Amino acid sequence: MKLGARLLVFSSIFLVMLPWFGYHFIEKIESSLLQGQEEAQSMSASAIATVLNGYTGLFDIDEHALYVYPFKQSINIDGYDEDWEQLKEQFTSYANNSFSLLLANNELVNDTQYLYVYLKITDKNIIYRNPRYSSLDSSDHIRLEYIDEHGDRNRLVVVTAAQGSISVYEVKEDWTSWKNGKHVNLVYGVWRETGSGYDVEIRMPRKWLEPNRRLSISIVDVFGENERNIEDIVSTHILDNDTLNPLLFQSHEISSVLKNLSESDSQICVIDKFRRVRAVIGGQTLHASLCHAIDRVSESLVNKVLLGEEQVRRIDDEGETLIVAARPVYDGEEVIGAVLVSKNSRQILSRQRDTLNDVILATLGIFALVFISLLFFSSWLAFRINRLTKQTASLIDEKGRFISHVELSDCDRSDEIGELSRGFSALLGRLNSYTRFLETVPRMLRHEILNPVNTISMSLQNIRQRSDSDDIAIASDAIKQLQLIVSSLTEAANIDEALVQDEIDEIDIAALLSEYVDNSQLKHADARLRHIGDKSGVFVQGNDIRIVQLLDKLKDNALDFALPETEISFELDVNQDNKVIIHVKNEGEYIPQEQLDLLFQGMISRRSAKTDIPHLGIGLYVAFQIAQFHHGQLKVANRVDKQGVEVSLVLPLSV
Amino acid sequence: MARVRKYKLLKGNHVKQTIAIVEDDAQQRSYYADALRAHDYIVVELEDRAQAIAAFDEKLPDLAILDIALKSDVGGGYEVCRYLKQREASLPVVFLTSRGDELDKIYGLQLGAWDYQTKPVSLEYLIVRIESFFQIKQLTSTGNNSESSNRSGELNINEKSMQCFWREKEINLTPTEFSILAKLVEVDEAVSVDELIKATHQGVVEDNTINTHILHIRKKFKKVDAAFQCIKTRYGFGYQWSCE
Repeated sequence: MKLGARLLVFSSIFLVMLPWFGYHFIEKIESSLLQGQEEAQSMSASAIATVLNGYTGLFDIDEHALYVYPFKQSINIDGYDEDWEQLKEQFTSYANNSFSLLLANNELVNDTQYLYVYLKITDKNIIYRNPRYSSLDSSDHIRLEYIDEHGDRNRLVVVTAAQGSISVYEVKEDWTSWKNGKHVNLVYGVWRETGSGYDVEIRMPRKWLEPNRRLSISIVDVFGENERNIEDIVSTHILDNDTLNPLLFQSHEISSVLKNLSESDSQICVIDKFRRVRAVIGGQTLHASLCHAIDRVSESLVNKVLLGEEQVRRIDDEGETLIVAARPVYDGEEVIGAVLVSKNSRQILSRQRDTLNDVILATLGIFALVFISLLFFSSWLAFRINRLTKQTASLIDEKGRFISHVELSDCDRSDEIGELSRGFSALLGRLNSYTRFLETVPRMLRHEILNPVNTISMSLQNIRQRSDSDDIAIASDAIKQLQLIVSSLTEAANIDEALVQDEIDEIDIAALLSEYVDNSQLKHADARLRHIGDKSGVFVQGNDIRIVQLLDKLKDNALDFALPETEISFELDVNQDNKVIIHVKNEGEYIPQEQLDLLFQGMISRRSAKTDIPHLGIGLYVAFQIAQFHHGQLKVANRVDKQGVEVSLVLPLSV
Repeated sequence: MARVRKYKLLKGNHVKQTIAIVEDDAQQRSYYADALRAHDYIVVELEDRAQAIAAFDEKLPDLAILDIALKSDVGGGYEVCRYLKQREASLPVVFLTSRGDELDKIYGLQLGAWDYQTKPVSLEYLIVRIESFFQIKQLTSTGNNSESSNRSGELNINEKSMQCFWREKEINLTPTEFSILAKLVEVDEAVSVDELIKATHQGVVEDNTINTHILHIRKKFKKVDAAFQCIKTRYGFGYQWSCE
């Protein structure tokens, strides 16, 4: 993997982890926010509970109190319960459903003077009032009993002769005769028959009930159209007990005490020890609430609070979390009620969501920025490394020699690549001087060897003038051999430089080879040379003298190894790849495979002592260099029939 | 040129010729000197560039034999040659060196040297070459070139004066090049490389040396006649003079 790519992968992994860390961080924040919220709510619940400890009277009520629901829409007195729709679950039943009732007061600003009562009575046989009977209790009727502002008990009888508007009379204690014979107009109602009995909707002034707020309602069932005897009386209060039912309104006192503490997104709910809601403040925006339009809270939380335990809970409701903190309200040692402070986590969550969004946006931004920077940085690195590679490669040709010395571009930089460049530069410099040294070695050697050789040669010449010993001839031959060795070494060392100077022309290789073989036959009369293939018309780009030099090397090689009286063939062939191949084959010694590949490397000779001419294996090296200079190849292999060796020269055809 | 004093070359002369040998190796130098003195030449032995130039300032020789590398002065011989050619362009200069690279040879011959011989030398051949150089020099200076003129088509060569004309234009060949050309035009058929080597009167010569000389000869002809094609390569054998 490349350096840049590796860097990219590592940083990407790190970057991917950033949002994960962010997410966990936000979760922590959420949980601590919720905890903070719980604590805040607990504190405010405690505060409220403490405040309410001073209002113990507000909770001092009877279990049989009639709960008056706060109502927020106007009620039309028509005997139908449509207006009461939202409270229809809240009817209180008495005596096995013989009747049920619901009381409400309207909280609309301009309609606070009435108390509304809706009664559903089960009665299969309704007896209406008949004027023939003067007694007011001679028909099915409803008794209303309340304490007026003077503390006196007042009794009202609601009767009707038929469906429709009711008649209300104030009666004496016996409930049979009216007090003043006047119809009580301020109490208005409608009587309507239903499948199972009848419904009565009544409205009466609230101020009559103040300040004692005590009201009892009784249903009186009369039997027999003629007998008209009272069969049954069902009442909201215990008949033997004179105490009337207290009316329980949601407390305006508590509400006003707590008003300032309320918030739109939190709700304060005060309940009494019978779990009846005494006050609800705020919470208009809450989706769910423990106190919402319910007179009794039946959560286990409330049970515990009413037992004196402080409570904090999170209640999941339709994807929202409602945090409820509850504190008991004491009267001395006794728990008389509780304060519930509810708030849902929507706000917290929405804040959290906003934060999360911010974090995500910021992360993405940083991500993009880092990614672009990394991309830029890695591209820049890759560019520099590539440039260095190219520059380094361009300094040296395919044979490892210096072409030119160029200052590598990053040498002046202080980073690692600069260091690498300097390292390369220094290395190449040393390599260059070493190569130069090596290149001068043959020349130097030649110079150093040939001078003493010259001295020896001249000494021998002088000696020969005085004597004619065989030793002198032997020494002269040795000098010639030495000279040949030196000159072939120099030839090999300088062949590359010399080749570069050569001129390239289009030459007819077929004609050249044909002529070459004919002429060589003349030169080597005792050898059998044979040319196979076209005699003209095959063109290559090259230098004819060099090609001949190459052929000379191949021919010398073949002549050295050919068995006497055997044929040496020069075969010209053109293949489909637009290459011309010259095969030089001789019969003779077989070359072990491991030597074949080394033959062109110079100083490797497979020559046996067949000739007395010294041999360093330089001939094939020079031939190989010439073939490469012509963009060709030189291959040597044993013949398939293992009868000798085949050297192949492959050259590209001229386009 | 007024300062230049030189020995006049006379026919059947008895005036000894002066040969300067610039060679840093004392032993080799003394061998050359002994051989030349034995043939009645006056020899001035010099061992480096400074000494040579000082001596030549005093007096120019009739012929100079130069080694190229003079002690640590790797190209000293070339500089001495350049100096001599500036002083007198017609002075015969023979390089006698261990540097046998083609590039060195080309450079030496371009400087105007008459011959470039690589060590080891045959003292016999050296004497023969030097004698022929003096003859050539005498003939060219006396302007006697009407004799031994040899025409081969549009080529006109004078073997004694070693002058060569192609289509009436003179071509300046070194004595070695001239020997090769003379050998080629001598016969109608191809001449083998071995024969050409013999014609150059040099000791051990590689095939490639002849190739280099032929290339130079062709180039010099092409300078005066771009369409020159008369020296044919006979691959695997040698060369042939043929203008067909």
